[in-house]
Amino acid sequence: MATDREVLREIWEGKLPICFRLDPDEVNDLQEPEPLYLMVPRLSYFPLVVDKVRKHFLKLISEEKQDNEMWLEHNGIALKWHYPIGVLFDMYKEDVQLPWAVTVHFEKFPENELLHCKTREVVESHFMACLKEADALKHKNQVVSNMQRKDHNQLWLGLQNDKFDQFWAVNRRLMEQGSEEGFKYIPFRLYHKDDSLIQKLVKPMRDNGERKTLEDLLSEIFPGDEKASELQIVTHGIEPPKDTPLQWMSEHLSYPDNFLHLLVTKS
Amino acid sequence: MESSPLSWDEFLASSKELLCISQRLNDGWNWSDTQDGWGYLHKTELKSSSGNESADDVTAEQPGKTILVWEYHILYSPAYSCPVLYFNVRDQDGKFIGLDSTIGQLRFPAKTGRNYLSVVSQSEHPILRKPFCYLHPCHTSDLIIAAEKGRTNLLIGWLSCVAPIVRLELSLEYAKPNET
Repeated sequence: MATDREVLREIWEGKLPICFRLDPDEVNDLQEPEPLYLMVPRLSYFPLVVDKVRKHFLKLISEEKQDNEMWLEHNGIALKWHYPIGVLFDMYKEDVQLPWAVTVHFEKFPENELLHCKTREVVESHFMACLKEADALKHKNQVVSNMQRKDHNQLWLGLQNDKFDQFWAVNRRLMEQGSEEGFKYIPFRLYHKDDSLIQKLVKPMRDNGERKTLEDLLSEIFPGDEKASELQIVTHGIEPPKDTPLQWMSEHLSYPDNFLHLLVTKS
Repeated sequence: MESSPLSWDEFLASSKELLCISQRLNDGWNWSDTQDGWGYLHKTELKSSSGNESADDVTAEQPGKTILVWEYHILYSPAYSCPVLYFNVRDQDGKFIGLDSTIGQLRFPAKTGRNYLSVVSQSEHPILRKPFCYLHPCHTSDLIIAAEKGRTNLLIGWLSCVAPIVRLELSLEYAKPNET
């Protein structure tokens, strides 16, 4: 069980200052529009926090583009809304100064890069699909499927409305260990420098019952690679020590989708 | 339930068998390996846009109908220990036709009703990391556990259940026991 509540709280309260600017080529106005500054939760998703951004720039774009799907870009890279904001930031932070400058577009939606997201329900269904997948890894899908619709709603509304207590009242059940010690597998996504995403079944314990650490995870993912333990891993903007137990990390440092999102920032 | 629906090794073996049959039929299934030791099956089909014709008819230009390129990928989901079908429908210029139009091209069983989003949605292809449509894997494991293990190729059994939804051509040859 996730017991270090102050850690959970600290992670939950992580925020990022972002400066949104409309792509100058899309401005349909004589003056250059004012940028919009927002402080957004790291754990949230862009579509849940950018209503204001859309409203702010709509009046500056031409009439026929008003219903277009808005999308965001950083340094020429389309930002994938289905990753939590903090994951996106950690991915690109090496060349970012705060506030993070994000460009807003209403034209030329990059079909081959981004998933469509016309309503919040799309985010909800993506979020629930991630939760279910994580639960399948941790508990063979037994916790989520035994929950009621209202519990699902409470998780989603807790995230959407940035309500820690509401979210964790239900999420704690997802973080409970089953009959055995630890989860069956640790739900994680490891983003490599070369843009690949690594998935692998990793157990939190060794066969002899010892707890595995972040270092063990790396050596399982990159077997035979002696440099694996030197990789720099970042999550939530911090570099967790390599001897941190995986089970503890999963319970305390997972994003609301119940996955650890780990970024290799230096190899 | 302790038994896993389909292990990675079983997925590999079943895929091999499917590729063998495909090679004999020359119907276009291929395999791609990934760097980190996984891999997936894939196939491309051309179809006319509006529906009931078989793939053979598409060369005949018909007014009001366009030809669409269907790309099918079968990946292994380690979380659910089962196969997942990813697919994309593009026009001839390679442009994705959109989720709504894609859903319009699918053939859902009547009981699905209008609740399509519980069955199909857009997601990131876990290997290519590009947008693809996919059939939700939640119920796939039930489907596979229901099939009798060992007697049949579970991958082909599963594929024959989902193929009609995504209008994937699957020859009856795949149902025959493999003598090789």
